[in-house]
Amino acid sequence: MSDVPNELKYVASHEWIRVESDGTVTVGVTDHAQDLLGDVVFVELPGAGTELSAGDEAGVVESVKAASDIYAPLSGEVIEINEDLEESPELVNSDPYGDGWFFKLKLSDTSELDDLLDADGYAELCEAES
Amino acid sequence: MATHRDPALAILDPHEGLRREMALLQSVVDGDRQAGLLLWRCAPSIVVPRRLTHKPGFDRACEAMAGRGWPVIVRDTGGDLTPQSPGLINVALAFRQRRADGGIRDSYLKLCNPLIDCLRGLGIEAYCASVEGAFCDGDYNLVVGGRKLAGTAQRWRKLAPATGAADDMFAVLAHAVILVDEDLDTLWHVGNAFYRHCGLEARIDERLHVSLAELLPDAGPALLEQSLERFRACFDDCLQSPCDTSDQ
Repeated sequence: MSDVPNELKYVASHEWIRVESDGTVTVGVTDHAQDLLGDVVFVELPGAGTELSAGDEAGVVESVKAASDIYAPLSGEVIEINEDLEESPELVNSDPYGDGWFFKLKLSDTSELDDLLDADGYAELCEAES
Repeated sequence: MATHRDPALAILDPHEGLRREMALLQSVVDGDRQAGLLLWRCAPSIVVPRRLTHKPGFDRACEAMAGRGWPVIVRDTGGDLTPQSPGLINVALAFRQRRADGGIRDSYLKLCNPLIDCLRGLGIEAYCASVEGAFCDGDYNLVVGGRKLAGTAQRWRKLAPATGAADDMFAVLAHAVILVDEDLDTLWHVGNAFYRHCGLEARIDERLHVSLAELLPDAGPALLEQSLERFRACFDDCLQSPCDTSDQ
């Protein structure tokens, strides 16, 4: 069973979302997603300042098995990306909820947070997929 | 003047070939079709995954290789460097796939199993395996007697909401490049020259590959055209209605 931390929110496309104390959110891909992808060898992220709408393609993850799009789970402006992934993309595999985060968003519509899955809902989704 | 009985025999500029592949994938993303097939041949070039574009020596390597008549083009399906030339056949299969445990494996098998069956019909026993040191190595190379005959890669994208598909249903482009009838040593020398110019330690071991022409020494000059016909036919079953094929 993949790790699904209770304090995070999720979307069905396997991104996780952490709401920070200043109202911004941090985004990454889940343990389940990184396990499906296999060893990650490259992550292409949106530039800081990019405006994204929920569901937009926000980047690409290349693993040894496949390349897969990253999606914006919420609408907002990219205010920071994880530059460590440029040199160390394997952080997505080794620490998906920590050092393997992708980008931070300043939300443009906080009501979208209500549409996110909680840990139980996401775990059920993963269970259904397996 | 030569005429092309099969449109896939035309040699495409690599940008155009890759554009057609992504258009095929997009048509599945948009729900315009459930699945589709594209076969094509590529003008001499070096196709690389996006990750190599971030290497410090990438621009220098592109300039050096373009000067030798081998332009470098970026593709969106991951994998590793792949020299392209008209003696190779590209097979791109797009379809819907659940992103569940084993989804990537299943997608590779959708591409590889029909090709393995096709090759068996020619008396060639191929299988999926890694060949360390071969070009664009991965677990789903098509291998014959320990030597690599084809490389594979995949791109996954979400289906458009308008398709009404379940959240875990994705569009996949699974791609193979098959070594049919080519001077392979030239390809590997070119690939290794790119790696050197780019400052990378990776090298392709030329001894680890085999072409269809080598496996079928009596095939004659029609091998490419016959191979295209066979490869297309082997996907008929998985492209039955409502699936379709495309050479556009």
